[in-house]
Amino acid sequence: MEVKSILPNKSVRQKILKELKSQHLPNLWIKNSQAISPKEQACLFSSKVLVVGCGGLGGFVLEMLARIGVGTLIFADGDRFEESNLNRQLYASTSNLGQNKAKVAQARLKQIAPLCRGIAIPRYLSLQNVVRILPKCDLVLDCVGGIEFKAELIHVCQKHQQTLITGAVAGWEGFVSSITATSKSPLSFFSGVSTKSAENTLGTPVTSVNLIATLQVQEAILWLTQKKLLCLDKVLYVSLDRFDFMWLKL
Amino acid sequence: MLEVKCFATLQDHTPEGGKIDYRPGLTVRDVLKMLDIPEEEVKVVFVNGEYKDLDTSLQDGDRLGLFPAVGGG
Repeated sequence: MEVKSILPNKSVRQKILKELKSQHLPNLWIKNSQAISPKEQACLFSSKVLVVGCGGLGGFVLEMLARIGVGTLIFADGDRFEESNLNRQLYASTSNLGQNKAKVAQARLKQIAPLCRGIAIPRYLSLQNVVRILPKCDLVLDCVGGIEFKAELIHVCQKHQQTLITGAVAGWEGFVSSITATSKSPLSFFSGVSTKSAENTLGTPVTSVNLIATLQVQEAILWLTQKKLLCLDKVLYVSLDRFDFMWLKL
Repeated sequence: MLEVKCFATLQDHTPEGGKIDYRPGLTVRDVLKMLDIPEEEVKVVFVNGEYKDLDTSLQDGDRLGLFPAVGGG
């Protein structure tokens, strides 16, 4: 498995943590101030998050996790950018069509978040690979497109007692839900034949993708700063065409 | 009356005004038949915001939400 990582080195990371412990926020996080305390910023900087999928949800999720100050991001995608990704995928551009999504994401993170250690896996993760990576992570974000692997990822995370935040989109609708080893999960949304799933008919426009990614990241911030998950045993379902936000109890 | 909302690809099955008449003994499965929705297309059912199955008996005034599989990323 090919793994490429970015900066920074250990001594830089220790220096940053020391600054945070003395209640001092490095300049690049100064506009997080008040919303995120130095102690919480230290929690984020010490965190390792696995993001599965670097396309629609994954691109926005990676961008936000890196900018908010998560210290280590491991992200995987075996897919390459193509023209039909330009409608929604943050890292898709006319200049990188044909390039691997994880590798493009890694280059972007290096530019926007110099303190973030980005580990790109330019492959589709097998469940065996996921199991190998899980012990190294504090949290998994499911940004996979397609119901079959989403269901498998939930199963494997629950089995290995890893918390996962899932998100899914179809047309102007989508949802987010958090899953722990003992919680209920929205698996029924991911049941049936992949080709019959609603996004194949309704598409995946950028506003829905961006909003669901935002909700996933906000939930991740809560978990990584040791607060209570809001989407546990629940689904937050959003219909953007009606501005309808619904809490559904699993 | 029952309030029925159909989501995503099921949206076109939403009844006029979003409501249907209630009768005692009505189940979620009966509602699918009334709205001409193939059972296999409904993967998730919520009644009054809680997860339920197709055999759930409904009460007058219940709010029903019907969802297909959703998995875009």
